[in-house]
Amino acid sequence: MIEDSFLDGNSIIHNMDPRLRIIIAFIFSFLISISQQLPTLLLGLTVAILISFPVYWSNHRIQKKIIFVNKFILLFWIFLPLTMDGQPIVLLGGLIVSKEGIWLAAILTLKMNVLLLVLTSLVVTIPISLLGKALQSLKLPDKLVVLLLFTYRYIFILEQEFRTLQVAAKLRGFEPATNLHTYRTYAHMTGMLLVRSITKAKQLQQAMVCRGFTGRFHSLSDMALKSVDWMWLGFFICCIAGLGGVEWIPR
Amino acid sequence: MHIAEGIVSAPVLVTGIGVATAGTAIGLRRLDYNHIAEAGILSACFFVAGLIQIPIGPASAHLVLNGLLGILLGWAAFPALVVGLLLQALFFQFGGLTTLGINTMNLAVPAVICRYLYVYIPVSTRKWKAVSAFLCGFSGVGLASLGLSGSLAFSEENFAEVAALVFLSHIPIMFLEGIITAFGISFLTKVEPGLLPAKKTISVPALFQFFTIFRKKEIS
Repeated sequence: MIEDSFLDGNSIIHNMDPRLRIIIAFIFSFLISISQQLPTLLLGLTVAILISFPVYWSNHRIQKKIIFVNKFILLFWIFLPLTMDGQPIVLLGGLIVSKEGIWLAAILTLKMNVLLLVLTSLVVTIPISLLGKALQSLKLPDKLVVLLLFTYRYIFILEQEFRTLQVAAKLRGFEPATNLHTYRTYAHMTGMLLVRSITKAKQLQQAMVCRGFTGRFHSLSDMALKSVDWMWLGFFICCIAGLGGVEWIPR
Repeated sequence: MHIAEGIVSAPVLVTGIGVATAGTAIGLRRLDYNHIAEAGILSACFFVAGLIQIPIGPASAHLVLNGLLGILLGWAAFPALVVGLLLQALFFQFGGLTTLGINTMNLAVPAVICRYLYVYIPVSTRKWKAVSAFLCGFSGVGLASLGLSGSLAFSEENFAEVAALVFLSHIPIMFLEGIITAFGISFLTKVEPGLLPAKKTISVPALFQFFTIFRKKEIS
């Protein structure tokens, strides 16, 4: 089953304006992903830990995410020290482990963890309906926002539909293996899923037209920056300026 | 088929954002409100199909299906993939905000190429139709993994080995996708032929039409 991994809770991060969170997360992540210096990354890590602490405190699912991302980085720890030229540290039976490789792998690990914390604490804490509204008021095309909301809405329904198809196949004695029969079966299942979803889409379209849908979801509440949001904005402008300063001002 | 955040360099990220924005703009222009529910559901459908684990030898792989998505949606594959990838970033932290552009570029550019391949390969018999569909699925993933390894290799010269490994490990998946796409297209031809785009022949007006992509047009 797909888990809606939205991190709910009621922390100071959750109460921040979603538009602000999206913009800050984007600028902050971009700065971190292009930075090369260790002090910048360490400063970024400190800020990331600070802002993810309230979320982490109220929700323990975040731990699973951190472990997952760090499993992926293992690939770089295996390859980079062995393939990168540089000062050898250890010789492992003919293979040279280079200092530069280990350094690069460490920098990447640090970056990925900072980015994960920023993404999970600032953006994954926005419920999807609020995300759609925030993106709409950030002047993203209406069509894209509507597309996002439809896609989100139907992921769970279609997954259920696919499970049904899988159960039906299993009851008929289908066992996946490496052969053409398996691939044909999966292709037909995917095709059936497509055909059924198109039928659903047409029904949905007609229902929406009947209810006067003109391509925009209207919302009753307006988004306005509160005084606490201005304080957050000030805090993050300082952080971003600090990161930029540490990265680019020559010492 | 995602680049994680923090790995690729600024020029690659910016290129990705540029190409993805342009493609999404074209896709949205050509997607009218009558078909938006359809595009949304197809995008959800590919999100779900991407979770299926298919056995391939001792290991298993998950489907990408960007070739099939491209055939069905054309340029609207760009917005559909942006949305799908954003949701994957939010749900599973595959990719992220900064790599949304480059990931979209790597998957959607091959998808659109597949649409043109499918529409303009002049085939009439069933066998050759299957071969052309195989080619679409194969090149969909093939070009996408080329883009993926390319973005790694352009970011940092020391990633060359990892990039090569990424590309080589996708070769079996290319064949798998080709086979699945061929069967999928033949299934749709039998069950719901209205979903598939009409075949066209290459002519001078058709070539000209390629350059008028900003024309507003419904998806078919």
